[in-house]
Amino acid sequence: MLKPTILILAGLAVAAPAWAHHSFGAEYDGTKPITLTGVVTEVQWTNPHIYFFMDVKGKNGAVERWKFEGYPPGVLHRIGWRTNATMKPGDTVTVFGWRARDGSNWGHSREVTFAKDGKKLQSGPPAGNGDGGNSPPPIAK
Amino acid sequence: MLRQVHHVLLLAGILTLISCQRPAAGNVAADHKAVPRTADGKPDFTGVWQPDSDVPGTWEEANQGVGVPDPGTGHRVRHAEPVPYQPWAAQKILDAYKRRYVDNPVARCIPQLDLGAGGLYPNQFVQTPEVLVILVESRHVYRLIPLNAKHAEDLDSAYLGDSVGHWEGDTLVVDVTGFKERMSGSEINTDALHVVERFTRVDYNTINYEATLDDSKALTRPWHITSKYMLRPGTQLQEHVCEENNQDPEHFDELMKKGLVSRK
Repeated sequence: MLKPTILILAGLAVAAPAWAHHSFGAEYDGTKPITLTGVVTEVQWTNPHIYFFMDVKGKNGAVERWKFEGYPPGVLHRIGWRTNATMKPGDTVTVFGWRARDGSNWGHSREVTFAKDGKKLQSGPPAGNGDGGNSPPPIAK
Repeated sequence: MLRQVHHVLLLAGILTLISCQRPAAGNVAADHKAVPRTADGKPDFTGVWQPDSDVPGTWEEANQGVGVPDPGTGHRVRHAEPVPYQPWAAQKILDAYKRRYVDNPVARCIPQLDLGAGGLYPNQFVQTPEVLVILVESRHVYRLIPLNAKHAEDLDSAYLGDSVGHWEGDTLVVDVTGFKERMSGSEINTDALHVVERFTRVDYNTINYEATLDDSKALTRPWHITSKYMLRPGTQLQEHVCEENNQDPEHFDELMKKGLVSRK
């Protein structure tokens, strides 16, 4: 006989719809939010996710290259993003998101603020989706 | 083979039909309009719909604020009880959860039935007297649901199974069988899975959705889901080629080499 917690957990896991095409928690750490300002160097407007790269000045003045994942282009299109127009190399942006689990300069973006006009746009989902380990499993009541 | 050719021809015809039937811009006030019907008097589901919502209006009107339904924090319309898995299946799901679903087939672009979920992506329904086609933006999934037809006797198993529909009054009942076994990731099923879906267009803007899943090898009893689809006038499906730049499997492998996630 399985413990009730296992049964409840299984139910919730399967009941959760597939929002993203992969598990957030497999690649990113929802307990490590990050906000960075930098200059965009490249935008990969691709499926199943966009990626963009930016140069960020570190505390010692050295420039670090960061990579961020975002929603698919189609989802972004519906919330106002446009290919090669909304985000371009040279743009200064502030990105909020969560770091990759391996601590590398890689993150999943949630929101981008553009210095040129102050506009804020959603760029990805909230932390979650299969974050086994960082979040306690649901407890049966 | 003949069946595949038939599907390709059918899709080509449907795409032509869609190109001639751009949805007109609509508004929330469309609620009072009668449910459209086909020439044979059946409710017509043709249109672009958003699953897992109960808010009428265009995509922009219905998803104000964040701009998309916010996973995990937004208003959820889809309701599903905890899945009544048999102990071995529940343990398998728990193990997958502990591995952070690194083995989820979806991350490798394998399709699955949304079962009333997936509100991030629009679905386009195209209906003729012979078939209902559901085009799902995410991963370019298409469902062909022949109406008043029977399952073929020589079905090959498929991730989306084989769907046939029939009318019970104004409700379209879709029977799905012939599933391929799925034993990894956040959702599993055996080849015994049998799904019965019920689509009812209760007003101009709304389809009520119900599904019952029965899998005698993995579940202890049938599992029920309810949801809604809302009409989204003016929304066009976008391209979503999952294989284009899918970096996740490679990233998973890197993380496994570093010992951060494991398939063990």
